[in-house]
Amino acid sequence: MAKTQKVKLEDMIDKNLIIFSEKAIKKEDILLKLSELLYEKGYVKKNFYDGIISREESFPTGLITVGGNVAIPHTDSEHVNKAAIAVAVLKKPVEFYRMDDASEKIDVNIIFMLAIKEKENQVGVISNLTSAFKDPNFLGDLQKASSKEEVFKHIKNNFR
Amino acid sequence: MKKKVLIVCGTGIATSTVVNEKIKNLAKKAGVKVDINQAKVTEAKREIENSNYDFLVTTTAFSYKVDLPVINATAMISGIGEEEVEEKIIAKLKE
Repeated sequence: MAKTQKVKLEDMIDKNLIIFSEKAIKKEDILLKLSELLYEKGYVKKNFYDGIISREESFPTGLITVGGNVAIPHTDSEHVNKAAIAVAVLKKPVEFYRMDDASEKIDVNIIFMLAIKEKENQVGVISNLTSAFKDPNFLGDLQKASSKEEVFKHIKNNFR
Repeated sequence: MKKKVLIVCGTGIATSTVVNEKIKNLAKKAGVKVDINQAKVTEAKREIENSNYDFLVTTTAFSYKVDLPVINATAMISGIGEEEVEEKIIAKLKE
């Protein structure tokens, strides 16, 4: 049986899957917008958003990391057609509950929405991403970006 | 002796996979053989009942009452306190 090719993070980030917002936005709305981007490009199925929301309610994905606060919403692979990562950089934070303590809220300015299809092929990508959270500069620099293009460039450069 | 480890997260595919790789590496370094399985938190209880795990590692808050040691490994995702968690896991692997 042919082995499926391992996916690179570089290939999973697409300029069309990035949201940069200076205006205040509600958490549900930004999650919907990110889900819609993934849906419009065919990466996920229609019910992906519902999966994201119900997952976030029972097992939230807000993280306090070395580099700053971040959220990594994701859901079951049955809602996914093709692996991708949608990114939101928000100038005004939204509140996420913490992954390790669902009773605690944190302010999040950066969201990586993960559409995961096969864990074996995407483990490297998720590992690279979470390793970047330990870099004291990666998330901070991302937060300083002033446009979608800058967000895209910064991520591309970091994972090349 | 082989250690049997169950790793759980909300979906059983994302953060548990990252932790799975890390524990594999820790075990290799420690010279311990491991058998690792991944599951959703909601499947953990059934999984534990059907198999004899040595310990459980979770990346999300784990509130179920289970009859085996539970290690919270969110630190392996966030990087904060990661070394302590690694030490805890190595100790459990070597037990």
